[in-house]
Amino acid sequence: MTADTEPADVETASVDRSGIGRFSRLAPGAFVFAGLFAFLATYGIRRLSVPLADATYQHQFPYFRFPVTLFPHWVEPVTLRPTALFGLKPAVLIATLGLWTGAVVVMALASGFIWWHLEGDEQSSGRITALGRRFGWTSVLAVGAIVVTVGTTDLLYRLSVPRVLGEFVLAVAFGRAFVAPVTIITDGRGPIEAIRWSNRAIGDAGKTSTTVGIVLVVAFFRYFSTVLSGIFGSWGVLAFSVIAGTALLGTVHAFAMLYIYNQVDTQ
Amino acid sequence: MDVPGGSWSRRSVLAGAGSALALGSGCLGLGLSPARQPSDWPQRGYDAGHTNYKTEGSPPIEDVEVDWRVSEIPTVVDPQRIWETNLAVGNGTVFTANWTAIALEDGRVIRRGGCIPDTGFVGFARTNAYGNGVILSTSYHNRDDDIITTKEGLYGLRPSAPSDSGDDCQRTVRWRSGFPTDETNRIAGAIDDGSVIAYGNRDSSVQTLDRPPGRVAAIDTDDGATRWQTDDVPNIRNFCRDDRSLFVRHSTGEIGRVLTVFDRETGSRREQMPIRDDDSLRAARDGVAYLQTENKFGSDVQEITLAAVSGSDGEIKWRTDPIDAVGSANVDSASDHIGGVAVGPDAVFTTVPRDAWSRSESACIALDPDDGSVIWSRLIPGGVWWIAATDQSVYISGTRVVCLDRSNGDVRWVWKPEDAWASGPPVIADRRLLVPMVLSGVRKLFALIEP
Repeated sequence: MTADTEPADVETASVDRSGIGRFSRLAPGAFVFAGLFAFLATYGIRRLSVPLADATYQHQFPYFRFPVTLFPHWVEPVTLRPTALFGLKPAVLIATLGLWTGAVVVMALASGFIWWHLEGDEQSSGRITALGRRFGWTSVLAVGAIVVTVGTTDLLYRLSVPRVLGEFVLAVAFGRAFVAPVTIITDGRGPIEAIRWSNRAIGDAGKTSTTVGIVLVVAFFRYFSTVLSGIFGSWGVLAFSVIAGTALLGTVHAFAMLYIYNQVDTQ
Repeated sequence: MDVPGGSWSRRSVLAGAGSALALGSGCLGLGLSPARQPSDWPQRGYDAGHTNYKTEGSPPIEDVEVDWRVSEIPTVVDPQRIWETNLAVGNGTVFTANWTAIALEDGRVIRRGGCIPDTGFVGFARTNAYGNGVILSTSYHNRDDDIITTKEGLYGLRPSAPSDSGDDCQRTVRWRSGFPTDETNRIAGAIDDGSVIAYGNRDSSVQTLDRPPGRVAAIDTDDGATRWQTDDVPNIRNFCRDDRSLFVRHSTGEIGRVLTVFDRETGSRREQMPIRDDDSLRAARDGVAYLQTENKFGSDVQEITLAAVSGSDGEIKWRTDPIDAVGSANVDSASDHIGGVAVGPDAVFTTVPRDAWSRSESACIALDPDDGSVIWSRLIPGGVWWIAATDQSVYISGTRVVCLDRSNGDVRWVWKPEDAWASGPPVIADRRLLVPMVLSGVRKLFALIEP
């Protein structure tokens, strides 16, 4: 199915027992790879001498300062803050943004690969251009969503009440768009159509509170999983936190998106 | 993984990706920025040894006039707190202790005051990643829900910053020292080669593993990362570093007051020697640390000495009493400290200020760095405390500013505004001599230049 057609006739399958089995085999490997790439990107940014801020659980107070994301995101004991980008030499800035955006895209591709492998329609199978377009749109949406996340958290970081409200509004927005990335991959919708479809489907299915809750809970546990790195503070623990945490929480997040997609799609 | 022409293992792919990232990021040809200028101060290597000696630039020698002046410049006046900088000059801009920024060429105030409290300013540092360098500070103002508080720790701040602490100071923060986790460094100084020496502990407000007290670290000025660190250096009072060593004056429970010498590149401990309780570290150059006697208030000992300690073997090379050197009849014997020290390659310059209420004269003395013998001495009317030197001249400031011939101590010029006294050491910035002064109760910064 292409992005221009309505996918109403697509026969979707629920995540049955064999699907869960395949998911559990595929997802951790994909997210280990994505986590490893994210760690290497972090290492690369450090090699560029670009500051990364300590974002570990116990160093941030109040503890509800955690960014919500639409896509599965890597565990970030250290993070790139926009304030660190001003004044960077152009070559350093380009390389830094390239590494960081690359990690965002790899996370999106890892998720998309799993969704496509389990749920992709037959029209995309074997057609490189169609498949490439779907993964391309997924990457675009992932970068756009993370820009919204960073923009919201950075613009509102100073004011407690607006920050919490902003985070909550963003969680609601991401909750309504929760299955948009999945339908881009599985049904071939474009990003705008995917967001509209997700918004309508989640609303019709009465799943808004569920998806908003998932967005918040996943974000909190991704944030909480930085606690080891905060206590021990070494490269080894940082690598373990990023790779293992990303494998675990990325898998949970991607599975939740696919699970909700199957529930709202059958309705 | 099967590919045309062979197969790649997962390990080889991952290793290749890692190598590409690491090599790619390391091949951008980064160098320290902004480029060094003769106006930079503290000078060579930002004067991490606190030598107050500069080889670059052409400050006024034959005569002097005021080029420009700026009012309301706060300065730190405690000469013992040598890690606190009054002024720093970098990238053609003068930065004062409260982060007022002044264009060196014309005295134009670019920004007045701002995010850094007076006591937090550490200095200006060059960086590899940023084109305009970084301002180092051990605290900054933070506004959260319209309440302004002070955040402590060693921070790297963007030089182009808000002009008002009510503005968004947190947006100027590029990094806080420590990586991967933040460290709470409360004292910092000795900026050199893209790093700054810092002293502190991990953040005590969060749960961390126990560490011995007192941690000395070299912090990368690019990103706040720790290049090396050494634990168990308690009760640090001050430190200097030269091109080989880091000298730290601190005290231990077993030995008492000590001077510990570390390798400046690795932080490994090389020597530790007990020193007198009243010895204070003033400067370091060419492997030698210079200590001055610091009489405690109420002490029976009324001795003023300057001592040179070898960093390689911990031996005291010499100890000189400057008052004896020039004759106690000429200098007020009630003086209880040395005013300033400037250490050049072949001479050590120091001032012995008169007591504030005494009618006797102050003195400037040049000593041989090998044996502490007097090369020349010069009596100067009035009080002088601060000192800086170049290959041609010695500049001293107090109730007046005096330029002496470096080779024999002859007075070249004297500049004295009425009712004024220096509130910080003179700074040599290319063609200008910057002198912070208090004039009729108002703190001003004067830029003096050759007519």
